[in-house]
Amino acid sequence: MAATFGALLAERRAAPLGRDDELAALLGLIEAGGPMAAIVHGVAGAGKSALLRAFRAEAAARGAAVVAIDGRAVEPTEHAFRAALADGQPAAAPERRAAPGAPLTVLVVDAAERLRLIDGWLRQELLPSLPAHVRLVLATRDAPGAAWRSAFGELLLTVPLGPLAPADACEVLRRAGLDEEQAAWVNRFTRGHPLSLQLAASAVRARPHEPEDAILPTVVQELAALYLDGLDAATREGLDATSVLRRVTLSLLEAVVPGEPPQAAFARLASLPFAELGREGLVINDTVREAVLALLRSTDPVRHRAYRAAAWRQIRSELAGGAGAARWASVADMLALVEEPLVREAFFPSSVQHFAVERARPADGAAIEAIAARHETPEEVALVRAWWSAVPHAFRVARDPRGRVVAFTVLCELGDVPRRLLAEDPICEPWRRHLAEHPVPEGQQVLVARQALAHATGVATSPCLAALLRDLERATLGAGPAVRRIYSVVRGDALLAQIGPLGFTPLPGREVVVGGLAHRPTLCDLGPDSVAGWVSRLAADGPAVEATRLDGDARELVLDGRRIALTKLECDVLAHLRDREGRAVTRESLLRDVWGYEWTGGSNVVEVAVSGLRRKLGSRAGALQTVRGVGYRLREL
Amino acid sequence: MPLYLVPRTRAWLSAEEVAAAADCVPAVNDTIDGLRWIRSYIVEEEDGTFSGYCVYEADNPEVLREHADALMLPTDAIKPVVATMVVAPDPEPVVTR
Repeated sequence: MAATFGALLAERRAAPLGRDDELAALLGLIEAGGPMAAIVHGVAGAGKSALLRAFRAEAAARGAAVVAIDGRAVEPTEHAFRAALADGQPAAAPERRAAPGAPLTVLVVDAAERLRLIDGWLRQELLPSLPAHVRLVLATRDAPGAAWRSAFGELLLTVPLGPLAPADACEVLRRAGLDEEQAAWVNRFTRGHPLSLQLAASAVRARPHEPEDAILPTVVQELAALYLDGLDAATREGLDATSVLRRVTLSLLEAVVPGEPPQAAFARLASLPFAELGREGLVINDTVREAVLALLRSTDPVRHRAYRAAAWRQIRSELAGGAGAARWASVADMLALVEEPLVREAFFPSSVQHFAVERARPADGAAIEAIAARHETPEEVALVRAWWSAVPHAFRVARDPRGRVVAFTVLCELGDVPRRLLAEDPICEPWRRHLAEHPVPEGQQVLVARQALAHATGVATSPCLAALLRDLERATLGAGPAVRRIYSVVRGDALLAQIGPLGFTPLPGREVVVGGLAHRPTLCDLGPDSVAGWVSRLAADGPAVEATRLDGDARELVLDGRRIALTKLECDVLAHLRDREGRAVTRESLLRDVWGYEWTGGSNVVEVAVSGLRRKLGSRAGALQTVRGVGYRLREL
Repeated sequence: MPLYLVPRTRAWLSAEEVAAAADCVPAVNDTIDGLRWIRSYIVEEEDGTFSGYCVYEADNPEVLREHADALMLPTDAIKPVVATMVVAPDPEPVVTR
């Protein structure tokens, strides 16, 4: 930013660089046989006002009378406009008739978009009634519509203001006091947009020692607000709708803006200067996206919820059908919708991270034991030592900027823990018991998160421990699509409250006492769809997206935000299968438990109910699988 | 609680270490009873390291040693403050780079 308003004003009053052609075209108005009217258009900050100022000065210097009206300062009524006209220059008043040879009068209206209410009156009534020696210049954000073009035909000059050419942009920046290197950096992200150039140049000048990262977000946020104001309604809607997305693809765009062909909306978004086409789709500059999202969330929460819900449904259906890299791209899309702070921070950290997290090195053993000794009982320290010696690869550490270990966590597959250690550590017993009672299907992974401790604060939250926990989440997600369950342990309700929203619940049964302290074993079951299902549920916990649920009383299934009415039989069948999710259920047991009779003879009542259910499940019908020779199995809905 | 001044020479080797320590202040304050961290003046030494002059309210010097241990900070001395002359309130905090 410029240090003061005055400084910015002075910068912007300077003759606009790189607009010589446009200025020359406008000056054609005051030449004999030139156009009668001109419309200068461009997004906010494109330099329209600066061009108009230069034009007014030059026109006056060539002997024309100038009447200037600022659309921002005039009430958009006929009366107020006429009053402004009369105040500005009596020569332009309609009742005056020009004497032969009288100089031309130029009526210059800046910010004409503010006068949209009287646009028709201006064009159809006022302008035709003005004296013949009056010429008109309008500056507005929109290109002139068909009404203006047909009214003036070839006598209307249209002057679009695009970005400055790179050489001109760099010259503007050099004049603003930036050196070659700074100018190149600023122009890389302002892309020749004149106001951006000025604002960024002022920001760099005002804070020359600030790192680039500190300046950019402020400048971009302010610019984003200006840009948004200047966009046409359809583009703005597309931008609003896609602000909930990590990336924009045709299918996602069609889901959030269903009213028009996605190709057209995509092309409009792709033409924005802060959008880039990447391998995964169109990516809107993050700071701009955040600004749009924040604005939408606060000014139109209903629309924000609707976009989120539409995006969630689409990503959910893409997750169901995707495989390999495409599936992980969809997981990342879903993550972007998650509003749970712990997860958001893990993947989209909001502040600078001072603590580096990595797998522990052999030399870290002493530091890890020292941290345990600061906070734990001797029995617990002995267990930490036992884990370190048995599964050192399970240890991850957070290091401060000097490289010292300030916190550690222990996470690995349950199968990696040697039998001897499982027997030695009393915390493992409830985990093993639960797993024996609730086995996971073959091929699915079970992780154990045994410990998280920080040098400064123990188990209490702290920035370094938070960094480690975030890393744990990333590691869990990165472990692959087969992770089914994570067992953990907490001391105290505070930590449980913190990880509760992630899906951790205490295991049934008693607490485990180690060294006189009560520990509560916990469990997070990611479900049959592993990470994808877990992330989808977390995303559904945010506003607007109703999680999948079966309401037996109302006989309704809420699925992907839709409410699906079910018959009583369909509802009972679904409830029975959901209770046994992921497992094959025999046709006989359905008949026995749902219909209430045992029968192995010929009847197709089950098939009829199942096919009715599949029809109602629509695109999710594949979740209700037929197991040949057995019966049915329900995957996660 | 008594007021103490604790000089910490070359406590931080880089500006990032200062920032990391500042990040941890609220969490550490929450976990140590009998101590209130009032403020610290950080100065840059000629060798590019940073020293601090830290003001605390504390029940006793032992709590201050515990605090220093938690944050892995050196403690040159723990000096009880016998009188305070406040001529003007502190200006806006100086932000580290």
